[in-house]
Amino acid sequence: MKLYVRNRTTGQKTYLKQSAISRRELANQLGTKRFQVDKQIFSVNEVKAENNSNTPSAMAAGGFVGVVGGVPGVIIGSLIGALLGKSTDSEDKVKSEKFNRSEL
Amino acid sequence: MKALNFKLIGVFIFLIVLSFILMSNTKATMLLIKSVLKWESLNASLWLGFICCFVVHYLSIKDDTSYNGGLIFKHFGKFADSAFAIITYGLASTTSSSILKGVYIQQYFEEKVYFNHFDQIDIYSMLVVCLFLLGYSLYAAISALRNAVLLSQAELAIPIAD
Repeated sequence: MKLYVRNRTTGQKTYLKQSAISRRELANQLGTKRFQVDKQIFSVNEVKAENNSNTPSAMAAGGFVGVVGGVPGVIIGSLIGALLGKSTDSEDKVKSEKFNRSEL
Repeated sequence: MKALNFKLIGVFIFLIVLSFILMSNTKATMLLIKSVLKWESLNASLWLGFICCFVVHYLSIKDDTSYNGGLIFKHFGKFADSAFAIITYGLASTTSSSILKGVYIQQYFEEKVYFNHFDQIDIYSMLVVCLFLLGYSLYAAISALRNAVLLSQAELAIPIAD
């Protein structure tokens, strides 16, 4: 899970180095509700979380390693990779939704 | 309208191309895999790769006060966490690549018998388990490196008094 704020002028996402499970925890970490990033001042309420996408890379890695077992190895490897990636993505999605629902 | 997942489409194309290459060049691919597994510097390269990935990972988390690691981190700190990762993934990958070499040569080339008193099912189980271990170790190292690079692009939020 990655935390970000949107730059007010460009609208682009700026990712934060900090990580927290809720906005309250982030505020506790910072010791305040306001912070500065990219010369702009933001409130903790403006921080959003987005989940990582591990499924494609895990699937590709599984398929690549499966080359040792031939074409069936590629298929089985990519399926195992997809299953593992999907489970971590689901966990990450739950965490990011929990963060986005959290209030100070 | 649902957005297309271009990453997944890319991976799907990659796997199709990989399978096609494997089918059309089976013998050449098998020889290539054998030469990689028999490569003298494979173990040294794996160790070096893991050391590089986790040293970069350690440097990226060293000053990160909000870092949340696993069990080793909670008890012994960031340095021990990274050192433990190098040792465990290094041992797992080098051992699994050595077993893979034996299984691969015995099963696909029949040049040598590495596992004398093993049933076929045990040998294929070893192949699957070692492939998983090797793949998982490589994936963990690459993920650590990728996260370190992504984290270095992220900004540190500087608190402002209310």
